[in-house]
Amino acid sequence: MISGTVIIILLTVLLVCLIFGVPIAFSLGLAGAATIVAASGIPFLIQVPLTLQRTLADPVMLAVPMYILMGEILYRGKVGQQLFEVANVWVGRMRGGTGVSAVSAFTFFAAIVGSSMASVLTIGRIALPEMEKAGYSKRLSYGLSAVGGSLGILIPPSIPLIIYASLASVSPAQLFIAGLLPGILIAALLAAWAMFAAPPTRNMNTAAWSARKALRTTWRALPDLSLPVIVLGGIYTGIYTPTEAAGIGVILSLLLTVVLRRSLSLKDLPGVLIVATRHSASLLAIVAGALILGSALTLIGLPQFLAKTVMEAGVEPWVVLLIMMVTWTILGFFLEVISIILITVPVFVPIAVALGFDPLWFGILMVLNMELAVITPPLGMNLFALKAILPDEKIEVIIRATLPSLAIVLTVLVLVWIFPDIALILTRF
Amino acid sequence: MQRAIQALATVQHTVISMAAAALLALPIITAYDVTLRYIFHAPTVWATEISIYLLQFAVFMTPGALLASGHHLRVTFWIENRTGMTRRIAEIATTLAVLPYAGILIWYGTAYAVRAFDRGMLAPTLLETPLWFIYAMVPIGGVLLILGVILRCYLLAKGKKLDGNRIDVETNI
Repeated sequence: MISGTVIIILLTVLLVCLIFGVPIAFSLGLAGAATIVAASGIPFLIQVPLTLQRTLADPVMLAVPMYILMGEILYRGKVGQQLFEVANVWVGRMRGGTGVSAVSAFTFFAAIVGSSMASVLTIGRIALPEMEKAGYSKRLSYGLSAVGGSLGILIPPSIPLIIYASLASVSPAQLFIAGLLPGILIAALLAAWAMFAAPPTRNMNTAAWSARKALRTTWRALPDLSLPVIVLGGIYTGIYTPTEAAGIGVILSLLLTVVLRRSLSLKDLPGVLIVATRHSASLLAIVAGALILGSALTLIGLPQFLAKTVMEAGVEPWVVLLIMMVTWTILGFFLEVISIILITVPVFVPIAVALGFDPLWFGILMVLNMELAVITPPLGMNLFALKAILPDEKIEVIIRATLPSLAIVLTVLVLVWIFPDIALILTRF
Repeated sequence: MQRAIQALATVQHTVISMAAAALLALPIITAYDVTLRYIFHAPTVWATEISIYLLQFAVFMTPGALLASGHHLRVTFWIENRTGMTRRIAEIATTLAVLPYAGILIWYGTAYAVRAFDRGMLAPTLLETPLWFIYAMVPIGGVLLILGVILRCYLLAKGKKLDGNRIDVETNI
């Protein structure tokens, strides 16, 4: 089935469409359709509607638009303010306290929503001015925000992990658990970096610390703090699935922002819904296009062919893994996270399984690579989010300032690679 | 002509509004189902199935509207370096490139839906929804995509700057 001509057609259509600016969703769909025609003939295009209907009937996919809606509600409802205030009242006085508060708020927000840009936009908008006031360098404050925001796709719940779980046929709940420790590790390294690199003399939180004030602030933010507990607690105790947790999360977010805090009015809701619909629909259109491409790849037997070739070639598993990571890194320069996952997972997972890799661990390694993708130019989504918060700052300055923070994600990536238990140990309980 | 274009824009706007309503319905249905299951031990038989149809509606019907308004994600480094007429022609060409995709959705989506209708296929669930009804969303979405192509090409030809298709900074993906 595999022929060089078919592969050339696939790559040509895909690259030409992508480079010349055809939307990613249609580039993927067209490349898939061209591959199907080249490999099996025009009548096989019936695969297109069949694949779309079958895969989009997976209830796991329902979680994607609901987590996006939840992120939009919390972002517009300014929930980040409460989270940052609580963190700041407890740790703000120590050296690097503002940075540690920002990291804590990013981590907590990541445990509510499943996207990185929502985290940067929501927490970064509050934390960046505070860090600037405290005299933080751009390298530190932008780096903390870019990487802190990227925790949104690693710490559960996470949209990329949900999509990976669906494609790789692994339990989303197990995958969520596997993402927990690596996420906390990144947060801990970010906090340590803040404590080490922050200026010692410019702590703004100079008022005497009062336990009463700290408790009062925490009490006031209790509904916000209880959101991740309810969302994640329900998943881990088996009360509801990750998809249902997204639905519950949206309802709770609405109650929190519209009824309790009144930070969002009913008048704002149609706007929130339209934006969330556009984001969800554009993302899911990419999913649909990638499904067509995936079906074409399966039709020509590419994943199986590659897995067999790798096994027969006797290449060391770590070399194969390294090649996959380099591929993810290169794709990360040009494509956004979901497209990369949808294109590569159907090809890479069979190879990973054939090489004896745990698919949960492999999924976490993939998301760590995706964290790098969201903070590297030219298509680092978190960089765009930072630019949106800092409209007067040049994008080149933001890029230069955030580059050193890549080292933290790379460190954790290497650690999880060498010690798979960092990801897997919690899944065994 | 102006009236026809206005009608196209209204159709696309209506589709997005309907998809937004579908999106709002998803968490309500989900929370309702979880509540019934845990409090009354009587889960619905329809919640998941209806939610999936709503999701499919949002996915299959909206690409045209998103294309017209420039909200699809795309790689822009080549096209952003073009200016003036070259840029406009490049934009129109990349929009027209979508037509074969729309054609496949219409032709094969219709064939799939007609087959389901002829065979009287029903969803293997308690609701027994006629599948042609669900499958018809794919070709209808293809038609809407073509309308989106027409609308976008017209607006581009008129000199409208539709660069909403740059990475939208408020995308929370």
